[in-house]
Amino acid sequence: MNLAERFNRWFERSRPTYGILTTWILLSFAVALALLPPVFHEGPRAETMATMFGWLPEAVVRSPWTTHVCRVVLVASALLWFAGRLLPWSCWLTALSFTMVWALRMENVANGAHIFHATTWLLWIHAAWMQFVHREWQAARQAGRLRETCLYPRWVFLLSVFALGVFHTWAGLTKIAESGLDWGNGLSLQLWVYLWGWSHSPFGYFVLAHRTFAAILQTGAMVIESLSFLTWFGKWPRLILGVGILGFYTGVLGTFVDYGFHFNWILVAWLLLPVEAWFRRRESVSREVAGDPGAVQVEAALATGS
Amino acid sequence: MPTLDHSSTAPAAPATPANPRTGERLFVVGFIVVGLLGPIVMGERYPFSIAPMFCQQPTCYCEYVVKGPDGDSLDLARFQLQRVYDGNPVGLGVGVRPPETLDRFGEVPTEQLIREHLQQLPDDAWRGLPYVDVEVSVIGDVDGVHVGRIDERSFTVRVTAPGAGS
Repeated sequence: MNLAERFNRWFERSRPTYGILTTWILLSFAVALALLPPVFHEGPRAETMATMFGWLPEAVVRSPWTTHVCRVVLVASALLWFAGRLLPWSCWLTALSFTMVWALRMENVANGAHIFHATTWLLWIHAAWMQFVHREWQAARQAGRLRETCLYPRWVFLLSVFALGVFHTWAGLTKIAESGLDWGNGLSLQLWVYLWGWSHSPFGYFVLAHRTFAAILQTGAMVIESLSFLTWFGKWPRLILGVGILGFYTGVLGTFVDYGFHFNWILVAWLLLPVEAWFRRRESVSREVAGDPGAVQVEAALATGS
Repeated sequence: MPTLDHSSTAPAAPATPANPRTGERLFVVGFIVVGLLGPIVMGERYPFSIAPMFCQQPTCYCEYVVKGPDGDSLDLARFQLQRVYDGNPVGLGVGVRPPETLDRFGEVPTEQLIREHLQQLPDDAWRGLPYVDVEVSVIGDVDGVHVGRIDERSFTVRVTAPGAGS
């Protein structure tokens, strides 16, 4: 199969159950962000723009009211999207207000965090999905056949995997660029765990007890992160790296309990473990039972791991 | 375009649109281009990110304790000795400049540097204090296997208030 044919398959559509559930997960994260108490650190503005909204007037960016309005809009638009109302505008508004709320947080703090970057990109992907299918979506809904109608283009899933892969690959490359290939010497990980680690963490215990063990974990994390872009290249790399990234996040969350990477953990599990393949297989079986030739396509895609 | 199947028993519509919309193709290609180039061009600027957390490779860090003449511990921020490092490169991708501090995660200041730093602080920091003792505990590699307080590198320095004489 050549590249053009492969690319064309990105636009094949399947039933939307997996996409709907993914959207619900994202919307629950959106509401969680809206409910997080805003943080405003004292201090002068940084010289460089922290976010793509850093060009806004300081009075707007630093005003708590701006944040509160965006939080209200985020909750309202997320609920509308969840209810299937005002599509696709509610979707775009959710993605925009989510991006705004987190951008305003980053503009008003002196310590960064990366717990909502992946969610941001996934929200934009799913908002675009709604843009392209909203008429068929509404028609299917009205006909009571939303779950049976093929409305989920393959690119929505593949772009989501791409976004996760690129994000984690950057984490690995930045470590190599900043500290070199021997970043994972174990000593720095031991220092971070010694300083911030949860005292009852089994991961933390072993990391602090053995430099070699710490070095293996640390180097393993760097390798897995750097190779994360490979999750895009079929089901096996996706599964292997997905398990690796999930293990990495489990270790991080089990050691640095309050780091807030729970959202990324859920997204990695949902998108990189074979959950989507399970949904497609289930769909294929149900369509085969119904005598639908489209089931063959799904089977073929599953076989090639695309 | 997929067609909707409104019958009650028929299977779902064909899975492949005959002519995928141009808009969808443009979005997909545009997203990939932006996703790949965004962090390179924009760096750490949300929603773009180079995910720099823990990218550095510190070999040690310092724990500071500042005590007044009565032996009570004093607020580190008052003497600009507080830690602002949280695993991310300090000040990267944030809109508020982190507070000034002598503390650099991964570095150990000299006694002379600590004296100079404290003595240039505004009078407010020194109010009611003829001198302070700064205890610096250096945490790092202790035996090639574990980390902990390195006694040989840790020290205490007494710094007199500016104008109080030494």
